[in-house]
Amino acid sequence: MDMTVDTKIRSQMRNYVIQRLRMKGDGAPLGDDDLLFTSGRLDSLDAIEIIMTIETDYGMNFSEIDFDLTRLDSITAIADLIDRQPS
Amino acid sequence: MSVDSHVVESGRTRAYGLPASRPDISLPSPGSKPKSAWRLIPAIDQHPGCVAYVQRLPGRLLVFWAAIVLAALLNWLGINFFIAPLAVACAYMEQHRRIVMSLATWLLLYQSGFLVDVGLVERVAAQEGVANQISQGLLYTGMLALVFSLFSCLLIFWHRIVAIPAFRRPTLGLIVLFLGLVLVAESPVAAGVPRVLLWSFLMTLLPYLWFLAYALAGAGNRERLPFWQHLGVFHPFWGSTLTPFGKGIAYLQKFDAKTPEELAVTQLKGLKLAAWTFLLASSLSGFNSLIHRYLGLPSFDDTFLHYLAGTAYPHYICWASLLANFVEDVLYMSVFGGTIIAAARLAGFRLLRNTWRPLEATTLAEFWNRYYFYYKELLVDHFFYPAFLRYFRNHRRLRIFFATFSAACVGNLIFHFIRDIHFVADMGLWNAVVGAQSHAFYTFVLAIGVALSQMRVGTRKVSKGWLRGRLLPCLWVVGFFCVLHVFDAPLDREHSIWQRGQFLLYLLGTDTWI
Repeated sequence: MDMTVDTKIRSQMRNYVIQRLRMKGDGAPLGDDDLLFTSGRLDSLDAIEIIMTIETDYGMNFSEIDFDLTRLDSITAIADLIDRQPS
Repeated sequence: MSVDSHVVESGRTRAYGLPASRPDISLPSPGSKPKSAWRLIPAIDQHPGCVAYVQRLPGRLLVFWAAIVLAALLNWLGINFFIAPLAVACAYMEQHRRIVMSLATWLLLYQSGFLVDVGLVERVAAQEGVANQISQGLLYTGMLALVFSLFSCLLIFWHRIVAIPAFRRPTLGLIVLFLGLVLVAESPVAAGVPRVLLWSFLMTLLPYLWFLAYALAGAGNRERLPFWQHLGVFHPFWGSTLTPFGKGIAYLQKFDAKTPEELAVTQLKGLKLAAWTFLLASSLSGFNSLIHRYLGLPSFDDTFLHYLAGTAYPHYICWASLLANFVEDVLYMSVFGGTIIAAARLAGFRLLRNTWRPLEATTLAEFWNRYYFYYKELLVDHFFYPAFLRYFRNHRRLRIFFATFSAACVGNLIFHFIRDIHFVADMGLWNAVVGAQSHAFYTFVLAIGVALSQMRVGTRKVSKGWLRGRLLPCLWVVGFFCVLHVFDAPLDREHSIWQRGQFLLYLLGTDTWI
């Protein structure tokens, strides 16, 4: 995947996650490698919304991958997951 | 409320029904200062001076002694926390930590007979009239060797096994295997020695079933860990129930404190949690004394049994005992989970708290998330996600409802049926299944409540004001779980759903209407 698309995905997901964190009263800065779930900033139930957003926006089918929550655990991890989906 | 069945919000947070973020394991940001507000337990983990001191030898010794003092205080209240100094020592083993952790786990398992219900196997042998033909000691040792060899082989070869489509879903496979063996054990073809052997295998497997489920899920990951590291956290030395506190090693290593600073913060959080647990345990003890000894309020189970005996307590006594039971239950769960997580943090794992401000929950789903976090995680990991990722992908609301129902009802029921599998051996399969009717109703109503709560939160408007936005929702949550508790207590298979329903009608003052 070319650099521009990857940057766009990161930007979109970063904005989305920041929005969700703000909803939870978490206004701390977010780096691309900051842990989301294993840091306790997001909960496993938050993953539902992120999964549905990725499915809708990027056409991914999570039932076809070996899903575990760590694959959504940072902006970088989410971008990698989307990058690696078969086109 | 069943022990195994069940996350300060802004208006915006609550509008989406999401559990508030849990900052209790985060590191202090550089240059941060402790909050100036008075706190019952000082925020020592946020004080740069404290964090720096604990990274040096005198500070480490202080943590060790503080753990001993807290263990002694908790012991004074009848709570065993003497694992805490061992946990601190384990954390300082650096590159040998995993080995020491595993050895500590296995040593404690050895001391507790590897948690095998030997009594049940003996009863089955007596029922079958083969007690004289079987050496229980030999059977126990042989079955432990067989089960742990089986675990080791599965963990070593799982990356190959999982490539076979039939083995893609380890949890489903384990449940089918376990319940299938129960069916075989209870069938006429297994009469005699085979039944004893099967129950011995099942009782040896039972304490580790959900640990194995997490381990197999982790063993399929790209990063493979040695099998003994998986086995080293099957009932980790810091404590657990059938519900793995800390899931498996694949999850735990993400929470492993990786730097001296992280370790210092994690251990200070462990000490804080232990101190908080001591305060909660003291409150629970005081509450019990006040309510039951001084005021003479009967336990909820007593009020139910008196009702059935025809000597019912007045309505207000029954309601008071139901509310007292709820308070005790929440306090007990906070103390019980608090000691386990405090010990895990002292061992260097930044685990989230098990029970976290449950009375601040304003939705059923939120309470369920805050009350018993690791059990909720077990149901989410093994029942919710598999359903959510596969079914009704084009129907958003139905998808969430179905997945939540799969976890809160189906998973919840299966978990408890397996946990209490001794009822099958003692009462027979049919009686045990029929006896689970009340708990099945409990899980059904709970699941409907949690699922509707999950679905509503996405569409609900923000309620303004403390009364409508906070107090009334909290009272609704407490009321729901109190009333539902009627169908879950006492935890036996003797009382029918009808008897519990009649008692609920009595509580509501409508029993004379029918």
